[in-house]
Amino acid sequence: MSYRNKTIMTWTTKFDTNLAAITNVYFGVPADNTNFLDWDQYVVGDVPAAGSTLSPAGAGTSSLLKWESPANMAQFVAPINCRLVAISYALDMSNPSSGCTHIRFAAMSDSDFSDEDSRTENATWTSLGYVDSTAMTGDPAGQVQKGSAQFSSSNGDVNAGDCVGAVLEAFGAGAGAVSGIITMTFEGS
Amino acid sequence: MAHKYGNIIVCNTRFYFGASSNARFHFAYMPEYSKPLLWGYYTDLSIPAIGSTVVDDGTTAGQLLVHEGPEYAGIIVAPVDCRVVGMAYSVWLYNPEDGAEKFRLGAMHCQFSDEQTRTDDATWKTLAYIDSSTLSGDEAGQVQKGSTTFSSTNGDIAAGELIGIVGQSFGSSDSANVGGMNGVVTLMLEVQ
Repeated sequence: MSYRNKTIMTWTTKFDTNLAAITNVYFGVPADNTNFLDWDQYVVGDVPAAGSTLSPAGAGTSSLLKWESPANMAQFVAPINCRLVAISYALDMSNPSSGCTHIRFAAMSDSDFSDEDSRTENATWTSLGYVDSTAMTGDPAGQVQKGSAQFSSSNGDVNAGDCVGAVLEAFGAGAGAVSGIITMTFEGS
Repeated sequence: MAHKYGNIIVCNTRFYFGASSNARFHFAYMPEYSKPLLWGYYTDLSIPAIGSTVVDDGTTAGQLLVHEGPEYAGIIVAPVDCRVVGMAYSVWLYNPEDGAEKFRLGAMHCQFSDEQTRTDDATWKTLAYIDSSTLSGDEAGQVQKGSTTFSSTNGDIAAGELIGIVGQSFGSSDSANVGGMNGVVTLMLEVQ
């Protein structure tokens, strides 16, 4: 096998969600859900800075459990050691709430996840990097947006076998119904 | 076009695999189904060794037809000649049965000829597979992950050929299976 440093790997997913409230981090649902692209799972909290972690250990929507990593959040499993180098997105917001300033798209991994860990242990997700949507002011009308960002930081490093996914967060006020597509790009290391 | 030896192609799928027997392998429903990521179809056949083939055995339970590749199990069509060089997975096992030992995720070459009758018996070849960590006794619900790389001509597949992903449970008896799991599997291909 000749894969090597700088090999590029991408994954893409479509999604639909309702970013009803701020200070909630939204992510996917299990693959056996009828509406498996409807990202209506969330945990109370904020997307942390790249390299920092999200590990709420409360109850209900204030907790993250390990089963939620492979079943809900994960979209991709790193086949080799690699680094997040880009996030790009396109979306349709049907009617953001007045005061909504932007949406944050983040790549998260569960590097705390060990083989055969109990599924009900608390999980710790690490932010690999994020991109914010174009800033909005006042009471934004329904609109489409697109964007991309590139990264070159060890904060985006993941090991072979680690699961990686995407999460969303609205700022200022809820962003409401959002449909779109996210592409994440990794570089072999 | 500048594709060349060594370029990497990856594809992945999220899935739900509910093992009900160790004597069969499962694969996905068709895309128009309400739960297309649910591996609800199965045949009472086993994933063969890497480089070996599995064929319809002539029984109802062991039926494997050519349309089941593109309609159900297929995950990617090789855009150029390539080789399976890596697999990785991350899963949540709900509650493995007492005696369950492991599960296997296989990358299969779903072979057929252009314009072949859709109900012909199929032959699928194992390009690669990855086994989970070994379970023992009556293990609780848990998460598992893993990755492996390959470097063998057994994983070679020509441009235009279909690759499917299948899953099989193993255990001390037919009913000692791994049960339900939700997860993600990633396949890595190298251009030849």
